[in-house]
Amino acid sequence: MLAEQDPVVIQLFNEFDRVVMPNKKVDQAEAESLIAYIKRESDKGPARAVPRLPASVAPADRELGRVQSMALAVFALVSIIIITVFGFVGKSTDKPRVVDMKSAYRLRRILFISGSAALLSLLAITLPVTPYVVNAEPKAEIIYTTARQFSFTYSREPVTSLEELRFVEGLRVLEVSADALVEFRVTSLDTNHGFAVYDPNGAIVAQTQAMPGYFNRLRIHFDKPGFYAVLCLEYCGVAHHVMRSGIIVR
Amino acid sequence: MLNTNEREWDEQYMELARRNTLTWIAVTFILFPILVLAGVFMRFVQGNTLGSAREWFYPMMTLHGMGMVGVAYVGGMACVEQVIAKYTRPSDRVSFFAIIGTVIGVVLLLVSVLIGKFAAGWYFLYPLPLKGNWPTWSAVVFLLSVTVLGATWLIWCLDLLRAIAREYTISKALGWHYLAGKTEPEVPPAIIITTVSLIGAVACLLSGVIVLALFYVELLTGTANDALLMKNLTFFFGHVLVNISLYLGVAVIYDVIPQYCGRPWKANKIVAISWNSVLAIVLFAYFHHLYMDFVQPTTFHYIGQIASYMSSLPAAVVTIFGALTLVFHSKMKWNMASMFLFISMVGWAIGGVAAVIDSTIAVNLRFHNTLWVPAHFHTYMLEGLVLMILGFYYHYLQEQSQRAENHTLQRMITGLIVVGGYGFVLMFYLAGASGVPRRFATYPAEVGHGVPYSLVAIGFVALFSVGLALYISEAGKCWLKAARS
Ligand code: HEM
Ligand SMILES: [Cu+2]
Repeated sequence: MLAEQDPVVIQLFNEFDRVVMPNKKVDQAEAESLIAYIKRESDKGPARAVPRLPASVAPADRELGRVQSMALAVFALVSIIIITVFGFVGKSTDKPRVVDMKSAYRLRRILFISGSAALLSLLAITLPVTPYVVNAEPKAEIIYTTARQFSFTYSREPVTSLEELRFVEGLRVLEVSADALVEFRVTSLDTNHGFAVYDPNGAIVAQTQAMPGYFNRLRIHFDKPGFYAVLCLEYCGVAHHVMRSGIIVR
Repeated sequence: MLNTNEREWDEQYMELARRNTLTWIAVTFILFPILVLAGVFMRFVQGNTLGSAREWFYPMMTLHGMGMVGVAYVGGMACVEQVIAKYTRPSDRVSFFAIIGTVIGVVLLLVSVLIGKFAAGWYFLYPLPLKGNWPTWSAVVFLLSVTVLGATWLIWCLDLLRAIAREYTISKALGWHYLAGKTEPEVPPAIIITTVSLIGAVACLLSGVIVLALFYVELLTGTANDALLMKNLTFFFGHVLVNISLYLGVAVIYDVIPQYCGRPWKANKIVAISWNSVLAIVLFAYFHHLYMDFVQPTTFHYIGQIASYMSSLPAAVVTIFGALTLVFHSKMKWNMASMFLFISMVGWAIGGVAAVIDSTIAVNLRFHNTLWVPAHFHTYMLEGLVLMILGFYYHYLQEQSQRAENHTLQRMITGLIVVGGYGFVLMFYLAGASGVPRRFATYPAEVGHGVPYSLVAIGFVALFSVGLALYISEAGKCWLKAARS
């Protein structure tokens, strides 16, 4: 249709970031039943106010998350040490002399032992902190999240095919109450996608992959009210960067 | 003593090996700058400057990623092949075959991306290649390209292993006799590291072959594959390939740094233990790519983090520490080659630290698929492996051509490449930590702060590119002189 320079199509094309829609290869009969279905559904009229996905906006005050800041600080510190050591050793070649290898080996032993100790304690501290759901307690509100090129749908029932997606009550944006513990069961109907949740300050709180044929269980405790943006974080094709959704926490 | 016949054969062989190396250098000097341009193009698009050309972002991302990984790998292999030609005799025919196979693979890749607009990313994660808006033929040509490259490189690796086994046997080439407490026969560290890398390469290329075979089965019969299995195979392939490419560069460092600092670097029990554990660990660390696939058995996630943490020890305490003691207060001859090789270890170390941070599951929950990922691998590829390769190339070309060196110019080139390169990756780090996703052609408002980072990065890439152009002109002059002789 683009090739035919259809004016409506051209306008849509420009509005939607000039992304060419994948050809879903819908035949005439399928298209007609789809149009009939859309008409039937729209004739029903809005049963209740369905929340609409707000336009993409920058968070009012952007903040680094706590984990992010710690990671960045550790990284900066270690990098500075590395650069200093290399600078020092590079400079030392201005004054060539014989180096006592005995003391070098002693230093290496100290480094090995202290390095291992540091790594092991870091492992001991960080390994228990994982996002994986190991047991069902405490009870969480379960939301099935279905990703496909290029949108997310939230529903109460699991969806495993496009066919099923048509018959569930699916939402494009989710509303939850503040302090809710939500378990997302995330899957995909086509390629891999990512389901990443940003807090109202723009820091990633958590993410999981949306994979065809599997449900990944991700629990998030929504403590702050506000708008949590959801972006797709696994490259899924030409419109990957416009694949978004959101969670409104009241 | 060699008799005349053998000596003649030897000279002929060395001449053929020299020609092959010069060809590889030329291939790199042509492909690398083009791929850098594809990289800058992506930064321009992410900086909202290119309008409608942005539809080329994902094809260019695919070309840049696949091309760079390929160039880095063949560059590393070419360096190592020249280095180990001192100790053993890889077949010059296979090496020539590798050049031809690589060129054919590159042509297929270009056809698929530039004509077919294929854009599934460099590791073509299943099932995206079959579900994009590009024509099926372009996916098939892409898969064929990877097949040709994979098969060629597999044969190349096997031939180097054959040559090494013939001279040393594989167990000695892995330094197992050092582990048993013996000190004889002496095996150069470059041989141990090359052997480790080649075994890793064979393993990952086999995994790549399985992925490709499963793709072809699906294309031909229509039976769908398991997405989790394909992901495991794909990341095993990608992770190990990138890591062993870097180790090829490290093998070169072990061989060349001693020539500049005038102190020997010998293999011993510690070096052998270190590199054998690297081989074991690197095969398990790939699990860190699947942390966000929660259905993967949780034990694998833990193994992934432990292996990733542990892999840093042998690198830091044995190799980097060893190199530093070697250079410390030595009569180091500084030129572009030794500066590049020395500084390349900084990129390896810093990129490694960033990788270990990201391999922490609790951190990965926030950093996975953000720009932190390209940040860390560009650090150890661009400021690590690329410096190792360019450093060795210059070392070799200088040795061949004996051109007079301009030390001020060389220091300036090094400065430009270091400042430009680190400034460029710093923008990735800052953006990644603050949640800007990787592989976004343009940034929606939620992560709109990615735009200014892209623009600043372009400035740094400009510095880098001036340095690269000067490097190629310097090294290119040596190349011309060496090629004529
Ligand atoms: C100055 C030189 C370079 C520039 C300007 C550059 C630029 C870029 C950019 C902008 C991206 C996309 C980042 C994103 O949004 O996800 C990228 C991705 C990538 N780059 Fe580079 N890069 C350079 C050098 C290298 C080198 C030396 C290597 C490897 C040896 C490399 C390997 C890759 C890979 C594997 C990807 C990922 C592609 C994908 O996601 O499919 N790059 N690069
Ligand atoms: Cu996506």
